[in-house]
Amino acid sequence: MTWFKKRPFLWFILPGFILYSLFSVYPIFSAFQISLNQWDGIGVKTFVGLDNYVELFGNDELFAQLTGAFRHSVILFLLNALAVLPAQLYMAYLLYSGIRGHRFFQAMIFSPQFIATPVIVFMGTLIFDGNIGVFNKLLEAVGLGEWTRPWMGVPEFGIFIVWIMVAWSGIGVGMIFFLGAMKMISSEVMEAALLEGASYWRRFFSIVLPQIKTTVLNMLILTYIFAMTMFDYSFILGGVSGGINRSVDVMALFFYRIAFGDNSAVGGTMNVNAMGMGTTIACVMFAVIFIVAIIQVVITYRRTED
Amino acid sequence: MKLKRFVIVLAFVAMIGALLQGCGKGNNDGSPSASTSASPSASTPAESSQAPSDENVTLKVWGDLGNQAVLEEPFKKINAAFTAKYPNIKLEYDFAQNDQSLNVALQANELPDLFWVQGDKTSKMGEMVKNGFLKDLSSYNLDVSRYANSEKAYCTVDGKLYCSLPSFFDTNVVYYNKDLYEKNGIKSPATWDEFVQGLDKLKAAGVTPIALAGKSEWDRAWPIFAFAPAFSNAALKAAQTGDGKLTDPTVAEALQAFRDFADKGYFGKDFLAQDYAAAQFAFTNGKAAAIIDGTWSNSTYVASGMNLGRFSIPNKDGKKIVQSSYSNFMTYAVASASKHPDQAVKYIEFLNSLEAQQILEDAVGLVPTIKDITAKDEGVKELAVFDEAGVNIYTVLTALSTSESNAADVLMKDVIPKLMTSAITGAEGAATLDKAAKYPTK
Amino acid sequence: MNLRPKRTYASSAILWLYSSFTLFVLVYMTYQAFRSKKELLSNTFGWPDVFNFANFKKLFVDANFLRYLFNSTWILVAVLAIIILLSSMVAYGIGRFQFRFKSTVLLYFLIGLMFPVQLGIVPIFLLIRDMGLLNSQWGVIVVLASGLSMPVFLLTTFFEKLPKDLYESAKIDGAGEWTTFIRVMFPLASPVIFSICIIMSVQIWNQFFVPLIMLQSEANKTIPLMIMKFTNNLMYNIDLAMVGSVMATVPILILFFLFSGRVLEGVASGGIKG
Repeated sequence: MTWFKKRPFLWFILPGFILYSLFSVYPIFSAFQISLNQWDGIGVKTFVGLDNYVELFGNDELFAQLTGAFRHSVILFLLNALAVLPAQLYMAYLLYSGIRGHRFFQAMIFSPQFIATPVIVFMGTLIFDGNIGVFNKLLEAVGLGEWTRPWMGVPEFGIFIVWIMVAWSGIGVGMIFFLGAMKMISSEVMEAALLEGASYWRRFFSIVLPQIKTTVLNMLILTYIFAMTMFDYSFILGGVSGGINRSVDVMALFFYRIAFGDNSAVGGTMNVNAMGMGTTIACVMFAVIFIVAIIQVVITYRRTED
Repeated sequence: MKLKRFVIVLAFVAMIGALLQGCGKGNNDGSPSASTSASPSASTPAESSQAPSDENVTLKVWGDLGNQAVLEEPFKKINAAFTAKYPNIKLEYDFAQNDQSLNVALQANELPDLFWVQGDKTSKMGEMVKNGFLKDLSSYNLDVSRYANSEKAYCTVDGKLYCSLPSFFDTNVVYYNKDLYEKNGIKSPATWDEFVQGLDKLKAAGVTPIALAGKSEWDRAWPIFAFAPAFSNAALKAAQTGDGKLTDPTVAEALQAFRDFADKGYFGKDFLAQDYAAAQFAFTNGKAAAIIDGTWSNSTYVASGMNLGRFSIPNKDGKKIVQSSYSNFMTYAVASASKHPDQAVKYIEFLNSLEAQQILEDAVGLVPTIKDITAKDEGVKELAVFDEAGVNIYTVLTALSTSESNAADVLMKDVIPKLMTSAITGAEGAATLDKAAKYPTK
Repeated sequence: MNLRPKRTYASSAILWLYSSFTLFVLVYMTYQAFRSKKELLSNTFGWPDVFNFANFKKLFVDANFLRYLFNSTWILVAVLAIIILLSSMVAYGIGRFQFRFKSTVLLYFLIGLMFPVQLGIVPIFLLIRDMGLLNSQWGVIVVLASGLSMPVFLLTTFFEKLPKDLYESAKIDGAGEWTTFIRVMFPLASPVIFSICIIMSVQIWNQFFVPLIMLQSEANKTIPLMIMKFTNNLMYNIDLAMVGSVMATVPILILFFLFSGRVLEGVASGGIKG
């Protein structure tokens, strides 16, 4: 008991730790075992050691799909980190400073989150379709009729369509969180800066940003995790094969395609090693995310522990 | 340092995990094949019918979640009729099954008593049989006198019957806008050449001749599904039995026809960017004169209130050979682990009856394959105007697939996109399929 | 305290542009929900002959919308309560106290985000079955409530940064660890906790896969599953898909608008005295 008394943090951590370990972590280990087997999902498992990993990196077709999907995921991450994240900060700061109509803006920017993904894609069709889309009707009305296109699926746009939809629907999440973080900044600090006559943007760069630096870094790693695990938009826009020439393929979709094959009402692929290889891909995905997360957490916490 | 600590924690959790796994082993070991093959006699009706037949039991049934909106009403009625007939059998019918939930149920060995299957259309049912998940229904001597051999074949794996028999038909037809056709002086075509001439006229008049969902993996394939039997029914049949090859020139011709349509602009501008909803909207809003779609979409087009016509694509000799595959709306299998196999078979029997089939027909309006089912209306009768029920190219390719190489998948995900984007010719597409296929050895 | 920038035209313009597009999407969706199936299909872009409430009636009476709404709300409230309680406790434990393995524990809590749930679902399914919670909303609640990764990760830094003297003075006053946590520290972190509440609410509300696997009978299903029923055969059910999406989105948005404004206002006026 005294051992516990000396460590009061255990009482705070343990309940969450147990629930989380049981339902979030244990399944991962259980899945990891599958990656060491050859398995079609319903038949008998055959233990093959690390053969699946060797094959994933050795098989030309699989490796090409892996690198293609990974490249798209990285593009998504870079676009999110370089464009969406600053926009989130910018919007949060505007709302924080109480710009006129901030409540309305806040609700509107966050609201796409509430709409189910298939409905968002369908609304995209209703607005950007070549025949019945509002946007194209607008182009026709202003005399740009020859510009009408089904903007949602123009093949040249590829992964960028996915990114635009992700950015539009997801921008509010980071913004709300940054807003919360800014509200935590001590009001005295802000008042002092105001008295000194620091300008609007000066206050942002010299006070707000340093104060929420850790939050921004944390958000960056979450953005990375999100880009690596993003699935639904690619799936709805490009189907299980990730679009023509796999133009909207991403890591999570690649995993899904191999593990569960075709998901349509008529189809159903049975591959001799679907689950084995699918799980292997998920484990590689995990490693790719995990390594970056270690670096991030270690860097952030070395600084704060000083 | 940090990493080392982390490894310790991970190892700890892994230990807990392994422990939990060990506890669960007894009842979750994926495949039940061992137990079923060890005691085949346990499942024969003679033994299990010793149980009192008026015993009250509850059967768990999983319906098709993907088509819940279509099937909810008819199955409410079918189940009510069943319960009225067998008051001691209670049904717990849930729309809970799609590929994902079925996979989980298989791996956890938690299948419901009855669930829907897709017969020989895909390899899934065969896999489930191979691993002992399905109950062999042959020994129950079900009355199948109403059915033809091809319907029995749908349910048969290795000579044994595994599901309720299909009684409806899915095929692809051309839905067309009668007003637009009449305005341009085109009639429902009698030959392939007439069909193509009509498309040329429409294109010249500035109407998209056929709306195609270039982004949707399945819906963009319907023209191929329709062309394949029209051009190459005999060749595909021969390939399936190993008497021929997919490199047959008629197969290449069918694929090439699809590419020609794309090249000539019959699918309209930017069809590659259209999804299924957009293609359907183009048709229902009168921007496209026709759409090649499944018979299951009939009611959607009827609901749009347009002046709707339907025809099957004629071949060069004017013969209409349509692709045919059975509807899986009423094909259910019994899980081998079911505790009430006899009662479950009663449900299968009921699904095999005219009474249940007519309920579904009246609600959904499918094309019946059995003569005594009355078609819902004139529109449904129009869907069934053809000379010969031909093969379904996907089913043929599935039959030629192995677990190493899936020719059907190659068609859907490789050949069709390349044809649409004019990257390969029909002959090259056929060669690709030939390479992926494994013909049965004679 | 007036923090507003002097010239706001450019910034306002961007926000207006962005917000009006979103508003347009919502309004257009609502507008379509009032139209009949026939009109939606044949005259998708155009003025309606009649506005009617038939779709709404269909949704509430035939499609039992309120039952799905109730199920979703109940799951949301229960999961949110558990997640906020447990994650702030964990985050407080990690952030407040000094001990070895600190960043390891934090990293451990992050790995739940890195693996696709589709793969881990079978062991979870078996655990839930053995607990007898299959086809029960409690099963979904337990599984969803274990998703502590994001809140723990985001909250930890804030508990770490809270002024130490507050904690010390509470201890000197004789308050135990728990009292300090509940009375002093938890309220101080309320702006962040509130924004996490909002983010998690949306995630839980839109949860699709876990309810799909765990809930089977219609009486237990949630709103995303109802929407999926309509979007699976989208054109066949286009009327119900539209009205279902509107009813799943707009009311909760209005609530969010009223509620979030008020809470954030309140927090801002209080502020934190460092």
